[in-house]
Amino acid sequence: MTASRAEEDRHLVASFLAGDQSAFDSIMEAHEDRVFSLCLRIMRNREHALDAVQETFITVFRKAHMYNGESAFSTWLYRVATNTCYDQLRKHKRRRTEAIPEGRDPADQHAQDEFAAIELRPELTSALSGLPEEFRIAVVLSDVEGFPLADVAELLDIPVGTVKSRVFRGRKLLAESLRNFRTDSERQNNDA
Amino acid sequence: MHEHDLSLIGAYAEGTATEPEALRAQEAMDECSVCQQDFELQASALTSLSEVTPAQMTDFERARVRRAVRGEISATTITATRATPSLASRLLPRLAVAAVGIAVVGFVGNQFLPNLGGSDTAAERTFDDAATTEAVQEEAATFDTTVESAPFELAESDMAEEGTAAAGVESPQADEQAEALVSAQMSPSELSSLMPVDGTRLPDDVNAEQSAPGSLRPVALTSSDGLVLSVLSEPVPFLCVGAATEQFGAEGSLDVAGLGTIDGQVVEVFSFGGAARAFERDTCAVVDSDLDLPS
Repeated sequence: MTASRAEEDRHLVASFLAGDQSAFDSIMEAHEDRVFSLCLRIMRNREHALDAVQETFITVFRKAHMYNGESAFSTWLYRVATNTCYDQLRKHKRRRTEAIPEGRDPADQHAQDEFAAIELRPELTSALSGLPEEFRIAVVLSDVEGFPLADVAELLDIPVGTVKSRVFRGRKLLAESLRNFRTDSERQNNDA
Repeated sequence: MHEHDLSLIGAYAEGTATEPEALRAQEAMDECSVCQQDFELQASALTSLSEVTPAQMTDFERARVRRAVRGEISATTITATRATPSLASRLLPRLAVAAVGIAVVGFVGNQFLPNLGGSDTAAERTFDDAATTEAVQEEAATFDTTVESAPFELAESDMAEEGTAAAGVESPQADEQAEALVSAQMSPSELSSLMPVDGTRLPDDVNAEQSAPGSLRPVALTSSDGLVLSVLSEPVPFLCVGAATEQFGAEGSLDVAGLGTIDGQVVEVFSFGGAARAFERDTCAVVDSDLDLPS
């Protein structure tokens, strides 16, 4: 997050709180893709990620006055997004037996494959998905979304030391998983 | 035997270790195969993760999210607009009647009872009361103006018109319609508690103004007795278009019939030809696959 972006965000939030509706639209336009990317990697499901993005911005709209300006607005926003994802993950865990929503638009080709727009190699997708949730989220925030460790700590509301531990252990598990995947594929190729 | 420090090795691998830390990491890797392996795993993971490009929404998804957020925002603000000025609009007619009554009493007092004394005072009081009424009306008008120009009240101009209309209605029937309008723009949970219709079939005499799902233009379902079942406007997102299209198997000729409730569940109703089906709004599961829809 550049200084100018942070400054612009601060200005937009002030305008929004002063009553400028278009400022909220600008905030949304500036951050929606990154919020989506974050939500997608946490939720691992496009539909759920889209729901989380929607819920995040509705929460931001309603609670923008609670942003105290101590950290960058984007950090606050992504924290809202992260918490929203956690809430939704909890809900989905409770309703795991329910049918998968069918609300995907068939005309939207990218939405056919929920990982299509993530542009990951299949083995990397699989390895990331296989990480324990707390490690995966820390790795995603740090190494995929590029948040500094201090920001990740703030987003997840945990100490920086814990973030480091999760990130390093998550990376180790990821690399081991990828190595196993390669070994398995080589074995299959040799067998064939 | 030393204690393996994954944080140290990890920081070294990502290049954030300080100079003394880097030296310690080098020593650890030189002396310990586990630390050396940890370093390789960290470096390997970082290389793999660097290939990941940020995920993006498709244009359709972006539009859908924006529409949904704006719809939700409008629902909140219209509800507030609807509730707040109704107090003022209820008070105004009563104040006006009171003012007229006082003026008539004052006039009668002046004309027919000139010698009873206190008429000047009565006239003055009448003037004062009228002035007070005017002040109240002015204040109420100011209040109305404030409400109508409140920030974030309405996301779009057509919504603004509907919101103003909802705030200004006076007849009971119009009031009901306005209430339904407001209801239709609330969140599903709010909607389910307020929607007046709760049946398994849409009434036969419903007059449906329908539109293609692509445009999602306003749709009104109105029964012959004037009860508005639901009034939908653009910011209300239809979440089950995809499911409906799959069910009917013919995108393009699918019509949005409306929003309602069935057994307390908020449903989206879509029609194709003479058939109509209701989809539970939260999950898009089919709730009723054989709805009667008016021809």
